[in-house]
Parts: sequence; C-alpha cells; structure tokens
Amino acid sequence: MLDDVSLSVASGETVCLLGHSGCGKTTMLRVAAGLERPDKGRVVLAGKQVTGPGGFVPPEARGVGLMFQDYALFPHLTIIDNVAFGLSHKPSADARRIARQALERVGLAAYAQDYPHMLSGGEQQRVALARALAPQPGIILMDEPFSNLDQRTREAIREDTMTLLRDNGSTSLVVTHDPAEAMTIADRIALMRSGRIVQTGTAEELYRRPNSLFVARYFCDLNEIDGEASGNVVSCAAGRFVLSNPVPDGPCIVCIRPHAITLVIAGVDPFSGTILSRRFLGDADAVTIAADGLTKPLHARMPAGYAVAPGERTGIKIDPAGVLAFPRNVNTSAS
Amino acid sequence: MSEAPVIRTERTSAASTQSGARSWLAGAVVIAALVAAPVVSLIAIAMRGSGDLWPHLIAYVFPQTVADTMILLAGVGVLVMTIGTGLAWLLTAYEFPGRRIFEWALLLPLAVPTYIVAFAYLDILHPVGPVQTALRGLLGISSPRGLWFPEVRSMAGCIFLLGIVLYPYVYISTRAMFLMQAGSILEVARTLGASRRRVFLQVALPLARPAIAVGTALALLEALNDIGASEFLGVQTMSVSIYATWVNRSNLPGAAQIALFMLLIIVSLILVERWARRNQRYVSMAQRSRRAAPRRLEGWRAGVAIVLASLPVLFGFLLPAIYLTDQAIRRIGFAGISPEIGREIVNTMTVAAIATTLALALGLVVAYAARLSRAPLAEASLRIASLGYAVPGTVLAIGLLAPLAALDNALATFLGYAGISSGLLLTGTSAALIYAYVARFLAISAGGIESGMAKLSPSLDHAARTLGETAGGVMRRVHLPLLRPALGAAALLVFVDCMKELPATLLLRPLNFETLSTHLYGEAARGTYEDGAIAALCIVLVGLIPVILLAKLSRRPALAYDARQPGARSAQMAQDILAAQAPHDIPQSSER
Repeated sequence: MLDDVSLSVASGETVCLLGHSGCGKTTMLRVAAGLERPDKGRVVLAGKQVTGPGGFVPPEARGVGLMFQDYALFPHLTIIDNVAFGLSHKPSADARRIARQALERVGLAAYAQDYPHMLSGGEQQRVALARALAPQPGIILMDEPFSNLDQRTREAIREDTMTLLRDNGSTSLVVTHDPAEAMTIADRIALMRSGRIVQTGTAEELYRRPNSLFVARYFCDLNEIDGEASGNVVSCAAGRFVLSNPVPDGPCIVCIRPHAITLVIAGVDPFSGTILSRRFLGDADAVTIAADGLTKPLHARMPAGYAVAPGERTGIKIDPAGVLAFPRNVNTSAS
Repeated sequence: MSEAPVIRTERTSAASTQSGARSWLAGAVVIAALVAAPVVSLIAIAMRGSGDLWPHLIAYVFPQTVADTMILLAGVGVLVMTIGTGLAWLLTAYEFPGRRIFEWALLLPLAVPTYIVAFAYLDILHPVGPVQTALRGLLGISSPRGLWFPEVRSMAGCIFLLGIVLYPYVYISTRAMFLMQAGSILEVARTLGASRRRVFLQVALPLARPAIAVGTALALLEALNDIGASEFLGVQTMSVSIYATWVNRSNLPGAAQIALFMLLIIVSLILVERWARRNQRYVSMAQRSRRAAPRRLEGWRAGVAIVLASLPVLFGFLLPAIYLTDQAIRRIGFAGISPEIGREIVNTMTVAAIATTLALALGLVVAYAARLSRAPLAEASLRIASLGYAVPGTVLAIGLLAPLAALDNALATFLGYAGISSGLLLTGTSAALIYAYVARFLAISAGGIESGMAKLSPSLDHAARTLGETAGGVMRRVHLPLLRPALGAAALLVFVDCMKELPATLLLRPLNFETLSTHLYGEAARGTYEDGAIAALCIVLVGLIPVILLAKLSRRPALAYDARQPGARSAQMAQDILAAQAPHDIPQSSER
C-alpha cells in the first residue's frame, strides 16, 4: 500500500494528501494515527517517535484527532456524550463543560441531548469535528471529511471547518481525492500515486509547475498533442510555443489547458478549425473544435458569450502560458 | 511554519496489522485450542486400538450402523429438501388465504427437538394410543391386532419424524434466497416467455441451490447428532452405537473409532455442501429486491395449497404440542408437579445459564480478535472455535472425557499433596458438561457476535481509539452497548440449545444429575410415561421463544438500526438470530 513515503507537517499547517482511490493516502493517514503498524519506517509526532524501530505508541496514547468520511459517531450515545467520549480521563463535570464548549463552537449546543441519527449529514459532520477537537489533539487527521455532504452544503461546511481549525491554530492532515478541494483548503498538497508521493508543494506550485504528466493531468483536463522539443521551444500541430518548464530535446507531449484556447476570426491566425459543439455552462462555454491537422478534437473553455455555432470555421489562438510539455515515454503516450 | 514539524513520517512502507490485537489474538488461539482439544484427543484414543474387540466391531457393529446412518441421512436429506424447498416456493410464488400465517407457522417445528417428537409419536401412534384407538373405533375393530398400521418404530418412521421437524432449516434459508432473488430476476424470466414451471426449474431452483445446500447440511448435522429419536425408534445410527459401545460395553477405544468414522462422514458432508454451493458469488450479488408478484390461487387450488402448507405444521408441531400439553395437564392434575421435575428444571437452567455466559464471553474474544487482527491466525481461530457445531454431542463427549479424567487425576494428586481431598473436580461435577456445551455452541455465539460486529463500521473503533480508548475500552464502551441485540439473540439461542441438548448431557452429566432432557430420555428408554411430558413441554416452550422472534423477522424484513425503537430492536434481534442460527452461511437480506 505504501512504498517508502516521507512527509512532514509543520505546526499550524494544513496539508492535503491527494490522490485517486487506492493510492495509499488513507493508509498513510492510518499509519500516522497509529491504527496501522507499518512494516518499516518511522512516525514522529511533536518531536517524539511514535512508530519506528524500538517502539510503537498505540493510537489511544498519541493524542491525534481523527475524522472519518462517515463521521463514525457512536449511535448509542447522545451528541454531548459523543463529544465527551475522548475526555473520559477528566472529571465528568469538566468533561461535560469542555464538550459543551466544543459543541457551542460548531453551533450545535442545542442538539446536545439528541442522538446522531436525528441530525443531518452536515450537523453530524460538525459533531465529529467537535468530538475530534475536544481533547485538544496535537494534530487533526481527516479522511475525506466533506465527501458525504451534498454539493450545496459542502462548500459552506468546508469553509466553516477550515476557519475553525485555523482559528484554533490546529495542525491538520486531510485526505481527499478532489483537487479543487485540496486547492481550497491546503497550505501544501502531497499528491500520491501507487503508494508514493509524486510531488509536494503549494497548490500553485503543483498546478503551474507539475513535475510529471500525472500531476498536470490531476489538476486540469488537458488537450494532449504529440510534439517535438528543442531547446525551450516545442513544436506541434497546434503551433510553436516557448516553454516555461523546458523539457529534454526529443519527442514530447504538449499539453494545452482548455482555457488557454481562445477563438479568433477565421483566417487571421494560421491555426484554425471547425466548431464541433458548444455547450453553455453558465459562467463559461465549453467548446470543442476539430482543429486542422489534429486527429482529436480540442476542448476549450472560454468566457460565456461567444456566438459560435457548430460547423462554423474559426481561428484558434493559444496562450503559451497555458502550455506545458513532458517528455514522451512508454507510460505517458498522448493517446 | 518554519518550526519543527508536528508530524513527520519517514520512509514508511506497507502497513497491515491493527495495533492492540495481540493479546486478544492470544486469547482467541487458546479458545480455539480448547474447542479443538476433544477432537484431537478422540483421534489419540482411537489410535490406541480396541484390541480384541476390533474384529467384533468390524464384523457386527460397523456394517449395520454405517448402513443405518447412511439410509437415515439420505432419507432425511431428500425429505427436508422436498418439504423445505417446496414450501419456500409455494409461499413465495403464490398467494392464498392464510399465507401470511403459514409464513411463520412453518417455523414452529424448530422448537421441537428430535427426541421429543419421537417421544410424543411413540405414544400417539401406540397400538393403544389415541390415533389407533380412534381408527379402530371408526372401523369397528375391537382388537389392537385387528388393525394394520404403519410401525413408527422403524427406519421409515425415523426418517419421517426427523424430516418433519428439521425441514425448517431448508425452508428458512431457501425462502430467504427466493425473497432476495425473486423480484426482478423472476419477472424478467417471465417477460422472456418462461412459464411459471420453467421459471421454478430453470431459474429459481438453480439460484437457490446454495441456500438449499446450507439448510440441508444443517438439518443433516442435527440428524447425525440425534440420539433419542433413533434409539427410541430402533434405528442403529452411529450416535446410538457410540453410546452403546461405550456405556454398555465399556469400550472407549471402540466408541472413539466409531466417533472418528462419524467425523469423516461429517467432513465429507461439509465438503459436499461446499461443492453444492460453488459459485455462490454469482447469486448473492443481487441487490435487495421486492418479492415477485405472486400468483393468486383460488378455489380448489387454494385448498390444495392450504393443505400442503398445513401438513408440516400439523405433524411437526401441533400434534406433538397438543399431545404433550394434554399429557402434562393430566399428569399435573393427577400427581401435581413432582419435586424431581422442579429439581431438574433448576439443574437444566443453571447449567444452561453458566454455559451461555461462558459461550458469550469466549465468543466475544474470538470475534473481536478476528476484527482487530487481519492475521490469518485470527480468522483460523474463529473458524476452529466454530467447529464444535458440526461435532455431534456423543463424539464431543468421548473426546472430552479422557483428557478431563486425566486432568482430574492430576488435580486430585496435586491437591492431595496440599492435604485437600478434592474428589473429581471436573468429571464429578457439571464442569465437563458445561465445557461440552460451550465447545458445541460457541459457533452460535461467535457467529452471531461476528455478524453483529460486521454491521458496525470499523471507523467507530478507530474514532474511539484516537479519542484515547484502548482496544478493551472500545469493546466495553462502544461494542458491548451496540451489540446488545446480537448478544441477546446469541444468548437466547445458546441457552435454548443447551436446554435441549441430549447426547453429550447423557454421557457427561455427573452421577444422579438429571436435566429435563435426560429425564425424558430415561422415561422413554424405560417405557414409563410419567413426568416426561412435563419435561418435554418445558423444553418446547422455551424453544418457542427464538422461533417466535424469528417468525417476526419473516414479516418485517430489512430495518435500519434505531436503538430507541422497540419494534426495530426485536426485528434486529430476530435478524441476528437468523445470522447466528447458521453461522456465516444463510444469506441475509441486509448485507454480504
């Protein structure tokens, strides 16, 4: 599941483990929590080794907070008892008081005596957050904490959760498969693939300077065209581009972001094609173009309002800032 | 953000085992060893050889007993498959007056143990019993010899009586399968132009094959375990031979050899069952579906359906139950409740209660170890600890007695040094009996608890662990409260099975220690019918409780877990009963 992975999270930082399902991101989280014992390697928590040669600290002694996709609220306990679960070492009056404060912070004090199944998904998520935060863990680990919420409430709850964590000064490690979510909440992102971390950095670094085609594809739906690199210039059927991330000379894959494509009057630009379809998406239009010289249609994203219809000829202009290139090898063919 | 990292994982590689599992796993291994011990010791005893008795066994005992056992198994197998599958289809594919009542009434024979049904019918069908007397009166025949009546004390009688109380195993599992599959698949078959008859033969029956196999295997295990019915009815099965060889001929190695042979039959039975269930995966994939629209039967067809569905209930439950009630009332009116019966009730309840408590505790350990650890050893322990269910009571008793006696002698010697005269601590008390009950019925509690636990998301455990609770604490604060319905169901089933248990009780009880079942056996063996009906009625009444809960389930299938709704609670419990009744096997409506 995991293969030689190293990752650090600094105090107060939010790091996202991003990747497709089965890439090992959840295992990584579970190793950090002490729920799984790795075959080798070390985990250091607040300067103390908790997993590694010569010792293993069980999860109950690590002081980590864990939040699950399904929230894992105890169905037989009231909301307040759920939140107080991790405070059992404290006198019960103190535990109740702390639990109540935690519930107040997530705005659910009124539900203290209810049972989990009486709450909505969003409310359950907030109870889970309150429960994880109540014992004041050194770090919060979250496994797809927002993916069970419906689209409309998700963004608001994500916003509230991250604000709360930031105000709290919490350090957090969040597992997600959604690049947009990772970019929204993370200070840094570690993108994983097949049990390895492929690239670590800020959202902008990963987006703008992906170190591989895999990373580039993860954050953006790319138009991929076979090309040839020479110096810092690539040439392909869509034209010649000066690269900001040069690749070794030779065959390469040229990637064009959909929103780097703009339509211009036919005949002015040397690169042109025929409109295949246009779909109105509200704040943007999705247009596919059969470009001259290309075997596959180009997918473009552009501000709404282009009055184009299928069958029309159009000129195509490409912004070099939205063009990336990667060396071509057996694993990353354009097709 | 330049401070020292809060968390750092370095060069971490593949993870597999959950922490905190080790001590639970150790416990599970010990428990599995305790369950396996009788079988191992049985092999050791059998190896010792019975010397000069061996030729006698080969020549006179084996051929007869193996033949009788095989004929009985074949007969009971055919009977339970026919009745169980036929009824399951009748009640799924057709609608007729009273169908909803039959749905649960057909489960009632489960409450009647095989030796009680034999005990009752011996008297009901006796030449001077109610049936033959009434027939003679009707036909105007005066002498009991004047009327020919099929002899119940025969192989055919034994097959009929075992079949008529054991068919519910097939009925339950097959019906569950029909209900799960029925809806869409059967309707699709109809729209493709298949007749009802063809749908049954070519779609429903093949789909139900795994369920039929499971149910039949369970029924046959019961038939193999039976000692009372076969003995009363004069069928020389292997259980009866083991008992006779040991008790009457005092030939322990000989008994052990028969027992070993019986284990071989059981292993092949289980292999056949596995084979009959091959490719089960393709059937259990269908999502929960509603029942296919049944065909409404009217007129004489409805009448036939009603008669077909009533017969098993009548013969398997009503007749014996009415007979026992009638006899018990007469006996109480005539002699009151004897102190003897009172003592036996106390004995039965006490031993059953202790065994149930132990079985639950050990079942928790085994199931929890399997949940915590993904090591193959944990899974193996759970399976081995569940083997006892397949080992007939007589076989278990033979395997237990020798090691316990040896342990007893060692203990007595040891305590003797300390100046304590202990007597026989294990074999002289009901300790051996309790061991046997726990070993035999641990499968029910472990299986029930395991399937109860399977419904709890593992993230509950993990949440509790990261909130500072140890593995044991998670069990106490999270699992135990949530498992209450599963535990209740398992307790009920184990308790009832302990109460009913006859073969191991006969062999392992201390001197002068009678339970309800051994009392009944004694009276039937002597041919004196005194308090027996009262004892039998007690057993049947207690046995009815899980059957009633099970019947509830058949009316209200899938229900979400809501701890605070009493109705949901008992339905949940009934579902857990079903799960525990056939460990790991019967397809359930909610999962897997």
